[in-house]
Amino acid sequence: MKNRLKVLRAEKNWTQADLAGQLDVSRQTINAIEKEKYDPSLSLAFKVARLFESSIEAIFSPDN
Amino acid sequence: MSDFLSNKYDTTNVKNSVSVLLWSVAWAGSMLLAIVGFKFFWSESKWLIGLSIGLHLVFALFALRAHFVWLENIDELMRGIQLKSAAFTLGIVWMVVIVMLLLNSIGWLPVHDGHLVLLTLIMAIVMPLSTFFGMRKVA
Repeated sequence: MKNRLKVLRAEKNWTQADLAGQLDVSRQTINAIEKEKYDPSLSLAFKVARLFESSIEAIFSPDN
Repeated sequence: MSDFLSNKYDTTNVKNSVSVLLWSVAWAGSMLLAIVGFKFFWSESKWLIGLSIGLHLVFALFALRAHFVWLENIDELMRGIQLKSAAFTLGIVWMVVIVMLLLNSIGWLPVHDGHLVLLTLIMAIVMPLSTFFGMRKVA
């Protein structure tokens, strides 16, 4: 799954640790999502969307 | 503010990890106490033998509970890695146990107490290795 997390985080000038803290996950998880090596659960995707005041579809999209 | 928030997960994780470590040490220590106590101090006292084994079981339950609390509070990616590692470790141990029993039944390898230590050693090696490779896969 593709995502715009890194771009959105950069726009807010947050570090991976900052974002991890706000989502209550580890920094490694943020890194794995940004590198598209891990697809977050639906509940984490909702948290991300809520944090960036956006929709899940605007942040995450399928590979194809 | 972000520092506080970013530390919340880590703080909980560290606290739970320390709890796991302490209860595991207490668990291992109580096993040692039960064995050493029986061999050198209270081999004649059934009451003390029962008490030391009971203490060991209580510590085992608390260690198990600490592991559950730790597992429930790590994030979804880490939990996935840990559960896969645990499943892989369990699978390896089962494989070794069954091969050992097979070798024992055909008389090629008489199984004795020392082999139980070998199983613990295998778990102690496979679990962290599996976790390491799981972490590396997503790094």
